[in-house]
Amino acid sequence: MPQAPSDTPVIEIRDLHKSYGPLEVLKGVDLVAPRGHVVSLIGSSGSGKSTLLRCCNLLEDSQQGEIRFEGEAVHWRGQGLHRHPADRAQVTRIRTNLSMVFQQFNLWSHLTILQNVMEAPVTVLRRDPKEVEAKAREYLAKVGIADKADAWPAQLSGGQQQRAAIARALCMEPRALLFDEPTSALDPELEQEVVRVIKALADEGRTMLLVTHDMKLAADCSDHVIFLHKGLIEEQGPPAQLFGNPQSDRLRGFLSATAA
Amino acid sequence: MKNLLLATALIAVSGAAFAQDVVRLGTEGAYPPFNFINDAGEVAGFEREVGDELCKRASLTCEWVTNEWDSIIPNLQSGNYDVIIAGMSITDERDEVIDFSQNYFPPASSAYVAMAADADLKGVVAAQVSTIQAGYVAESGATVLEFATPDESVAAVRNGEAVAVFADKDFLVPIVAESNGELMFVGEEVQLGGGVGLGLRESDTELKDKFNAAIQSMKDDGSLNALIEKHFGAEAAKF
Amino acid sequence: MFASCADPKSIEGLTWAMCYLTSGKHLDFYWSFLTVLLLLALTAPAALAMGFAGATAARSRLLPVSLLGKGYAAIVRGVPDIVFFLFFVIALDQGLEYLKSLAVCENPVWPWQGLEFRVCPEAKIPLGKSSAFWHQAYGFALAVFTFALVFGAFAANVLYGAMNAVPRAQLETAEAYGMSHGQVFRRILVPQMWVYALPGLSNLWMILIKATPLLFLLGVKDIVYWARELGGSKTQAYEYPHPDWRLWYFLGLLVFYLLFTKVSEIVLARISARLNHGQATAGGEALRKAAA
Repeated sequence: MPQAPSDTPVIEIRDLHKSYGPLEVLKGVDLVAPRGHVVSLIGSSGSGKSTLLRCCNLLEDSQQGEIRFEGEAVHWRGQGLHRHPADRAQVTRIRTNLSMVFQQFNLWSHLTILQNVMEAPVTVLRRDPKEVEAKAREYLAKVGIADKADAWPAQLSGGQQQRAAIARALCMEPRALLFDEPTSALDPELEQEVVRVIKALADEGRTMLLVTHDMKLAADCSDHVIFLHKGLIEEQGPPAQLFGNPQSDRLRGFLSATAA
Repeated sequence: MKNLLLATALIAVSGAAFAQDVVRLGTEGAYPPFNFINDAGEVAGFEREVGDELCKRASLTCEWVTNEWDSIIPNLQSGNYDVIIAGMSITDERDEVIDFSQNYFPPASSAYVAMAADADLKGVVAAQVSTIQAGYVAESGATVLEFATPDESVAAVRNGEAVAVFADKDFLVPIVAESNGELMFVGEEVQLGGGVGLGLRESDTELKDKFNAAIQSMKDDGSLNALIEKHFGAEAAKF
Repeated sequence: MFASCADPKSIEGLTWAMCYLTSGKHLDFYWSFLTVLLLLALTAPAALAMGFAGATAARSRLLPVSLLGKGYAAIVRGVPDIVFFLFFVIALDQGLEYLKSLAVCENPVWPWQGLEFRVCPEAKIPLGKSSAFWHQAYGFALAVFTFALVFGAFAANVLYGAMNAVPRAQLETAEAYGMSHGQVFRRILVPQMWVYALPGLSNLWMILIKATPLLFLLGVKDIVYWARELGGSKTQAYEYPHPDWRLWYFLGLLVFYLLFTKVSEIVLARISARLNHGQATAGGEALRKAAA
């Protein structure tokens, strides 16, 4: 795929609305993830931050608004609750370029760690298995679990599983990484090993979209932080501004509640 | 193996050329001395000899098939074989669904066999399912206990499930004789049905005529009586 | 078998037993064990294939296909086995012969005339003049098909449940990585469902083993038929008269079935252990603890 001009955002969302039946969870949200930037989404549970992330790679349908991937608008068919992506090939292209890391890791339980990392590049991208294996081992080494390549997911600790899941995302060599609460399911002592990996990736200048409840992580590695409240963006800006000098009462309340 | 298959195929093909009239004879193979599977695994008994002789006289090529008693009539109707030769008594009920040849075994006595002379014949009496005897027991006021095979109905008396078994006397005679006095005939003998005949599809009149003629010729020259005597003893009813 | 067996009534003791146990009928009995094993070997994969097709159809997003799959599982499971084995087989046989009659008879007529079923002799399957071997082979093939159909319906139900038991997150993750529906099905759903399907399939296998006596309803002589036939008391009309020995024959069958189920259990346990690798199930959890 030809590289889009470097000033084109990897993800650009305009006025996105999303409902589950009568319940509207996103009420017109804008989001821009420029190349090389880390954008964090924070907010209390039910604020719609995870849903917004899942809308980015089209795991969730949305009813209104525009989603652009590297400047290319998603084609839709149908209206409202019946609006779905129209172009399968486009969906595949977007998903393979926005690799997701899930809260519960979701490693495929019937595959070894190495197979998990190799699966999508070989099956979906049809890359040469030998080359993919070499890459996969590289990424496993990068997240510090090279020795676990032949283990089964269930044999690993949560932190190790999440690092394997990150290696799986990296092996797709995507344009951006989407993290959906990557540390929420981990015990505090395991959380740090994952946080270190995420920070290292941010330092490499990767484009990342990070949904998290970990304010320190958001503060440390983000270029831009978005605070969502009840399906709307309440406040956004650079982390120093958002965490150092919150403007809205809701953000102040949220920050003091999470700090406690 | 390949040669064997080839040979089989050749036999099948050559069979097609010469033997247009293969008549398949269906029997139960569990009702000695009428029919049973002998120790070589082949159909044997009175009906085996009668059937082979009838086919010879009618110039038919015959083949033996065994089928469970329960489904012996439906499979005839379905064309899986052409003749039932299984000690089947000629009754009005059966005559409504299939045709019978003339009898090749005279109306025979049915009898009760029990472990004790004072057995209550109005109690539980064993019989083979869908037989003329089972129908008779049901009407006699006793409780019928039906079994898939005649052998099991006798076993039911031995193990106390039934007080008596009601069956063709000719089937029971050797069993009683060889039971070392354990089993005995009780009650009165009963004459049931119109003798034993071949069961045929109602539409197969031509085949029926051929068999009727063959049976008649065996009756006329005494060879049928000879076979009855051979298998059922000198005292058995003859034509 | 042996020359000394020519006149069984004059021999006794060990020789008699030798001759008795090697009579033609006993050889048929021994062969019937192979028949049963062959039936199982053919039926199990066939039933699994039908079950898989049924379960896949039931999950289809096309309503008619889904109804077909669900209807198959529901209807066949609802019909008592004995009815199926008595009437379905006759109907299947007649249906096949009817179709063949349309192709080969000179003027095919509607074959169901009153109680009788008549097609021209050329349309019989196998032909009336075929050797007994073909009649038996055809009966056996009908048996395999019928068993596969019946057990396939149960397998369809098991597999359908197993497919639904695979965690949604596992499938969603595959979608998130760009897999098509077909790829998700082949690469994730099918490999993962076995661990959920195995207990149900193991049960079915055990039931299938015990269901083989239904073979006799289809005209195939199985081990239970022969045990009953051989064990029944034999009068002097037979070469080897003896009292009711069914108990001993059935004890023999009992040992056979027990051994066979035991072997099955061992094999199934091994498969289960293999499948549990890494699976997020109790088995997988035990594995993880053992490794830690």
